[in-house]
Amino acid sequence: MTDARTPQQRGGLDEAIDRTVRALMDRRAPETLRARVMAQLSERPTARAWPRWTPQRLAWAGAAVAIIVAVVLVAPRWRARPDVPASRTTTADLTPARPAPPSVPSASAVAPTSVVAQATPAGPEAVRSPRAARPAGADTSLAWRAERPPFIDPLPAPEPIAIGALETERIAAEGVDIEPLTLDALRIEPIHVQR
Amino acid sequence: MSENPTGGPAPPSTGCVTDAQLLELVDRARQGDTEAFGDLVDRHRHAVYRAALAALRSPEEAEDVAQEAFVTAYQKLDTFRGEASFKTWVVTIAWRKALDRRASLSRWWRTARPEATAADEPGDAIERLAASGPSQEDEFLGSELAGHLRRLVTTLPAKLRDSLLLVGSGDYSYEEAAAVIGAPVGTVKWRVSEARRLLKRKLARLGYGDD
Repeated sequence: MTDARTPQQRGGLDEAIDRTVRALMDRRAPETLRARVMAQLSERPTARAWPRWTPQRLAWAGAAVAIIVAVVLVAPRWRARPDVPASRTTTADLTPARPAPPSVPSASAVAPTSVVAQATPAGPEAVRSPRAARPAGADTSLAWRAERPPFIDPLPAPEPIAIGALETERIAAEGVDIEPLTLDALRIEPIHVQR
Repeated sequence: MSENPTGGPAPPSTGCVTDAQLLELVDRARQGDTEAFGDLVDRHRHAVYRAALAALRSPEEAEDVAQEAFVTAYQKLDTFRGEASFKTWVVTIAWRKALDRRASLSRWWRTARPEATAADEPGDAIERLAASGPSQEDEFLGSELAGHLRRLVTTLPAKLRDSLLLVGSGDYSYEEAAAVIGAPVGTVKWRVSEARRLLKRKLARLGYGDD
């Protein structure tokens, strides 16, 4: 039967609040709690059950997996990306504007333009091997390798060596037929021009 | 003797056992006497359970938390230095475990929709808490005012509601509740007072005056 008295008659709202709270908390622990605790304590300490998969734990596990996947799959690709933008990866664009790789002298600086230039001790071989041209003590870490753009032969295509306008005219006048000289030919033996 | 000393309705959880006897039980439990620890469980299970109930408002989850708290207490008995009472120590363990569980996603979802939960689930914990047999309290709880109060208590901010339920349960003094919550006694008193003030203000909007 519902109490028909007003809250004022029953002691006011404070009393109503007290009774509500007491009723909400008026619960007794189950008699089996001790048995449950004792049963759990009697289990082997190392035989711990797997934690229950609560939604929060599932969320954390998912986040952890996502982070691992990102680190394993994305990070290597990011590290290995070329420094040159994709729009400049064509050969035509790279050839004139591409900066020289670290420690590799440019082809124009090394390629011999005369007979005397071919007599340098290093010779054109130094140009073909960027590693050999790298100075001693240069950075050989992975960072140096990562900064390198994809390997492209630093040497331009072999081209005839210009000998000089006067020389050419004189040779043409004397009727001497001279084949265009290449770096490979220069490396093998000096060139002797017959008058 | 491991007989449950708390046979009456809502008795003091430690019964007539003195502090010295409790400390003796603790010492025996430390040495591996599980029966002694079982006695400690029996003497404090209501206080531990109600603390978990105040935080979770679900009897089933409160039982789980109470069990976990006692197991943890047994495993960490060596860290109990006796600076606080054993009751305060073990209730604090239960309280923290209950807060952890409340913070889980499912609990967050349910507490974020208290009104929808109360409306959608006829067997809601609060409703079930009130269904403990016919008594004058039950008659009161069956009234319209009690229905409003049950709903309004769930809408209180968590800190205010926790303090109100802990202190209002009658199991803990202000000092004990403050130690369990980890707040100064004055703060707990203010929270209880503020919770009452908010409840009365909301009741006034519903047409329940107090003067």
